[in-house]
Amino acid sequence: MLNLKSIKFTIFFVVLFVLSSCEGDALLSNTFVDTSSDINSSVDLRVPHITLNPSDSDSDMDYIPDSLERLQGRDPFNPDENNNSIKDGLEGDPFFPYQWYIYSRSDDIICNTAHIETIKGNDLDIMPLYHYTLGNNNGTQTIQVVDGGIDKHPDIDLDINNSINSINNTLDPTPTEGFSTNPTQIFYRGHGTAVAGIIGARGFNNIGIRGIAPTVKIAGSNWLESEDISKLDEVWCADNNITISNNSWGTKFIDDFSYETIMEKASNELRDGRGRIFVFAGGNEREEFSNANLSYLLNNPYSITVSAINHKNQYASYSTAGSNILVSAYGGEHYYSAPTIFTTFTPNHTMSESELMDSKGPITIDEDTNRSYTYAMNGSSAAAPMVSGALALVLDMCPSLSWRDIRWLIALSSTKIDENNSEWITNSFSLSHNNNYGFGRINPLGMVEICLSPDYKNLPKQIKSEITIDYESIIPDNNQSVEKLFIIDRDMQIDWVGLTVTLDHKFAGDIEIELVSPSGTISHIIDKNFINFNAYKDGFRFSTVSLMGERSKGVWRVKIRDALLDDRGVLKRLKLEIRGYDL
Amino acid sequence: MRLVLLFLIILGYLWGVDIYEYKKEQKNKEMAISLKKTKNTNASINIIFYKEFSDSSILESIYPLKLRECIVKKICIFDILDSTIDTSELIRDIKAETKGIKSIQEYREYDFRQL
Repeated sequence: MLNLKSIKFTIFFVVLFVLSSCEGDALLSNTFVDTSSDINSSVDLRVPHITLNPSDSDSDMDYIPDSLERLQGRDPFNPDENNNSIKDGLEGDPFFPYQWYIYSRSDDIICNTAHIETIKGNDLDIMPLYHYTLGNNNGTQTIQVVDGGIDKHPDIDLDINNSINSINNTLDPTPTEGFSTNPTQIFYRGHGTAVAGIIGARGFNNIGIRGIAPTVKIAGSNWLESEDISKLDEVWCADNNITISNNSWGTKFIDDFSYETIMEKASNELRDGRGRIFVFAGGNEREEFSNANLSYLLNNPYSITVSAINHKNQYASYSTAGSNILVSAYGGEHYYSAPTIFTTFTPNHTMSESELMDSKGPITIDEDTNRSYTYAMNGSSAAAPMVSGALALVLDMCPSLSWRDIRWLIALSSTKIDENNSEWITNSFSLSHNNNYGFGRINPLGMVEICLSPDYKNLPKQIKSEITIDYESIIPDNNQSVEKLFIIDRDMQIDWVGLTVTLDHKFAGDIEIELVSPSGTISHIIDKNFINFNAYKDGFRFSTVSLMGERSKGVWRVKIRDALLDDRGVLKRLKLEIRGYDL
Repeated sequence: MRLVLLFLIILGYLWGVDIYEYKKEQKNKEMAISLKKTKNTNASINIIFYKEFSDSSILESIYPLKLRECIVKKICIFDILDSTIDTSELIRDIKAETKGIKSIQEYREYDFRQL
């Protein structure tokens, strides 16, 4: 029986046959051409890189700073005090070899039930940074984990005074009873503990693992158990020594400014005006046609939005993309298919083989006799704390950095990966961005090299420029574009660009939008997606970070296309908002 | 070359069909916004002000509103006292007649998930 799909298919092949008899060039003539490669890319970055000298603080180059070795009664000039041919800095945490994301020292580390090996060298490259940062402030920095709570764990140094329980209003962040420990559930108990371990599991304590920043304290929060926005103020804005807030949670679509209004306060007022750093997981819904730009939690000017990559330095199969992705880090794949993330879990509660749901295999190693660790952790939930831990190392070395400095240093220093991926664009400030990876894999060593440079200056005050234009423009159906222009007079160096689109369309997910900067760089703001209702009718704010460093002055172009059949829309209003600083 | 092109176009089309069908399948499902069930039966609105908000009495005297709470002095949740009123119309009126509002929408509680 004929249905719409088969009719479409027949028509399509008739058209295709006709087209295929034409010259190939004619067929390609309507293809969109990325002009960003034509841009002069000889602009110098503002800050020169410097080379650090490891002997400054780690005389024996064993990855443990002299100060920490002296504290432990060790010899700072002997890299291998027990003569076992392993540098002392690689010892002290028995499960550290499984933490390939910190140091992937060989190809034979197995931490997944599919027995897929990790790849030597594919890690965050932070061992050299340990020369300087471990013990630098001896744990005075506190990182916040906003989640379903944090268990008391022997490998996690909990900052109980800065923790908060949003259910019983105490300082005890332990999850309330009733949470499942089954990772297939939407909420499971060990999630916050796993996140905390990635950031800051205690190092060199002869148990378990070490965090990326192994001397920090963890302030736990179980806010996700309440989800009460009126309690988020005291979680995000409490004036204490929390430098970074890690948020490995979210939802696919949210158009509520409330959350960023709270973040705005914390960013402007805390740390003596330098602001709390907000790190967010970018989402795991790639296969559900999602986009990180559909969440105001992730596309506001304050959030550092993190996508997940796997052990091959390619985006994880689930990792949500978007022009608001700032940076990427390891989230692994699924523990039954490829390497995942070894970390802490609810003590004595890691699911043993007998408790497993199916044939996917155990989720921890045999040596974990207390069942307090797991390698089943994955997702952008795991990638975000890697960035939080890495930023803690950077702030240890450069504590005067503001939240905006941090964003800039990320953009300037991140490591370009998967270089053959076609979605990389290079803007006129010579920064490369990819909606799958942001500016690349987090590179804390590169950030420190810049911020320790004597030439580095904190960013000037942020300024804004915005323009709104009303329309009544029909957007033709099925792949035809409407193009609108904006002229911005103010010349500033761009931090962040917001584009609010008011558009009446029964299926907003049909709409694709591109933003072209005055220098010709194209940012793919949104692709066709899962949204199945009139989501942009009251105005929806998208954003892009891919234009960081470019100049604002000139003609901006917005291209809007209805990429799917049926349901024609009408463009009502566009608002372009640019944040940056005066040149 | 033409064959490769043809193959790519077919792939692209099939993908397009996939998302098209996916979209249609979604048509009758719940909206993509993940909302949490709330015990509060009153309709409420969420007003975000550009500057710190201190006096709710003017808004309460003009519209059928009762301030429930403000968060960071800028995000204020008001309960709507008149259950017969059209919330969308009320939001439009308030936005048109009141200065200093960054955003106003029906108050929602979201179901967030660990990622």
